Amino acid sequence: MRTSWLLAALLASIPMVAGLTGCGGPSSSPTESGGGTRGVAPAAKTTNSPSTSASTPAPWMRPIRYAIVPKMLNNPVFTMAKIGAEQAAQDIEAEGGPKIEIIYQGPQTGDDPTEQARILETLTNRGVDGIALSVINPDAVRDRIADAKEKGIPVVTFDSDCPNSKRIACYAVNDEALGAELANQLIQAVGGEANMEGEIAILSGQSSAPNLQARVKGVMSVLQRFQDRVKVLPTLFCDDRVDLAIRQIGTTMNGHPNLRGWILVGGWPLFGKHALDSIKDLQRTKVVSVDALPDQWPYLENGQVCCLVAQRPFAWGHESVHMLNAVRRQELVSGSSIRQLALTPRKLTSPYDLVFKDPTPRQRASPKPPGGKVYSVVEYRKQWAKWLAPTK
Amino acid sequence: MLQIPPGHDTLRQGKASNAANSLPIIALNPHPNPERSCRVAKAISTQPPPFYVLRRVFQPRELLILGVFLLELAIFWRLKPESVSLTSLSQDADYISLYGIAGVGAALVIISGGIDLSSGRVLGLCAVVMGLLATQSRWPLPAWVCALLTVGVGLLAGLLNGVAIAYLGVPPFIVTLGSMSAAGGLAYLLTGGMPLSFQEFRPDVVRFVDALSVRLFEFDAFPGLRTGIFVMLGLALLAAFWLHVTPWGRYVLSIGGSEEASRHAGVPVAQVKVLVYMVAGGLAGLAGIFYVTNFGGPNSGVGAGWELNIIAAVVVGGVSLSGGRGSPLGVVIGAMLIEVLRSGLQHMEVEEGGAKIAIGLFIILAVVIERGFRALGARLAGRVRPPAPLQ
Repeated sequence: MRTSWLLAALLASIPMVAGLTGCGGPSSSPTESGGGTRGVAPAAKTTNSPSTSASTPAPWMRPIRYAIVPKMLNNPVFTMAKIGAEQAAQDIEAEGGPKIEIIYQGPQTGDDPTEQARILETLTNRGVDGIALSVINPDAVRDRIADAKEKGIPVVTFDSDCPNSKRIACYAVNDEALGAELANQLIQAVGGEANMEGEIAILSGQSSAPNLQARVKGVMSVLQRFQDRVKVLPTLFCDDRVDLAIRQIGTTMNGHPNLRGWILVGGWPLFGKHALDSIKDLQRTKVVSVDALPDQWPYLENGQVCCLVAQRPFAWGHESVHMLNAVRRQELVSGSSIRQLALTPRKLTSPYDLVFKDPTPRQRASPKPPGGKVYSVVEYRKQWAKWLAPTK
Repeated sequence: MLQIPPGHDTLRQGKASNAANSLPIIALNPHPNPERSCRVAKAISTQPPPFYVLRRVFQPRELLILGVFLLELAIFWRLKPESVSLTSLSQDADYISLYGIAGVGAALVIISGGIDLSSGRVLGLCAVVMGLLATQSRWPLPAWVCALLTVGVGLLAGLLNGVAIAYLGVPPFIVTLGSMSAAGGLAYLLTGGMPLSFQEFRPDVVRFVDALSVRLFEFDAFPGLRTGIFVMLGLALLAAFWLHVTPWGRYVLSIGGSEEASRHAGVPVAQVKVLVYMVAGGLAGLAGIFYVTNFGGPNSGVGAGWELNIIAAVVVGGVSLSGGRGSPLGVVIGAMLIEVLRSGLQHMEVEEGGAKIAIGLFIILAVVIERGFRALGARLAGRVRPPAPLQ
């Protein structure tokens, strides 16, 4: 990693040296390159001169500020993303890279896309070096992402994407596959396809979030096979609120006490207490949920939840920072500003894991999700501690 | 200041202003007719009528609201019986207790002629404080001390509101709008935007929280009620007694009727206002504790927008937004009315948008009906007075 930084620095210095020696192309003309863009601006040339290099850090070593913008601050999943981003910043610095400051800013509640758009605008005006974003509503932030890129700030998305925007890359789980996995785990939990009958409820967060829409779509694609004997209740939306999610579960259980299963496409209710007390017959009503955060483990341990399909929120932040840094390096290497770089938008698929109370040999032997693993709660606790170990 | 014993309600009948409820005005405005004046003196000297306290605490308005609540239960029983099953009502009680406890305080503020927009956010701030005290291990305070400190934060928030309103003369709407924002910001600063996990609570606090969230009166068909609902009922009774029977409670009614008249009558307006806002803040703090007991780890977003639910419960509970009228007991029934309606609509699988519209219309309808009944009562009593415009 250290060598890659040195290489980047070396490559970045080529156009500057060329500029000094008068061998550069048109962009090296002082009159043409003073547009305030980053990268090969004259300032970069001057910082490379011996007189200033002693006092001013080289452009690739100046302090960097990356912003992590979650859908909402009050979801512990995003807390893990922040921890992951901070860890990546430490890693980069430890490997000889610049000092990176992580700004963690987002709406307090998950039902405020306009607030998220305003935060993006503020961060762009502050001139941060990169933004990683989990999108509440793509329509609300698409123009803001374009503005950021126009001002030379790369934007990547994690968890929830903004399709058809100028974001550079997206790191997220394949949400449709995740939804299908949830439905398949529910089928396993009820004892196989032969036992799939009755009513099934789906709990989602924000109705406008594209990732949650895709998960529900994935769930439905599997449940469609049982449409003659399974009735799927209208999807519930809890606005990412723990108390509302718990209430919706309670209300639904009153009206449908013989419910066959719950598919929670996010872990909201399980971040609170007594979330599943309204489910009286755990043999009849099975619950599967996305995410496997510490607050959710007790539900798995006491048998109220059968399976947790764990995303890797730590990696959201970690990978986002590395992606932003890669873009910045490319910017330095090529000598062009971010808006001039011909970057191909990419979608990187994050793996997910399966967590059971105590997985049976069959569950362990069953096909694992691509790149993912099967854990027992005890094993997952240990893995969790490993992820957090460097930050403690 | 004159202290006139209870039992002289007839004296107030002829007074146009609600401030006439305050006793000192009688002393300042003796009846010009000496004969009537004798009757006044006689009335003053009489003993309180039977069941005086009960009649003061439980007023016809609350019975009317209770009737509407029973009607609501009957309608939902007809439309969707499971929506008003014992299990469902038991679940609703978890939310009713939060809005009800905070609502009792908010009602006192509104009865005194003020408004408290910060109640939801103060509730959230206090829940965060409780969570932080429960998770910190450097100074592991006993759980009950954590709870007391949490209520203390609420009291402090109320004190600041009250001082700004009563002594600096800033309108309550502005002060509490500011403190609403400040409380949300403080909760954010304290947590750094991170949710607090119940898993990280110290074991002694977990035991305390579990003890407070235990379900009482549990039997086969009924999952029982958490302690919060009993605390709410107790507080509402206590507040109703304080408001209608004690001199300081009557000052609150008096100030809500006419602050100016009360001031001329010697009522310590500023102190009463500060006290009322402190009580509201303290009760919001207590509701914050019950948030933690009912739902676990809080976050800085808790309470956002709840002030509207709380004020809705107060208004539906028969408290006049123009001040001077209402009872904390009505607020409790108001909270039940709204939450059972919300739950009933969910049971009927009405979409969230439709449910919000229905609840909004219900709140407006409740106020219109309440004002209609009040106008009718005034007409029957022979003192027609057009209702004051809504503030």
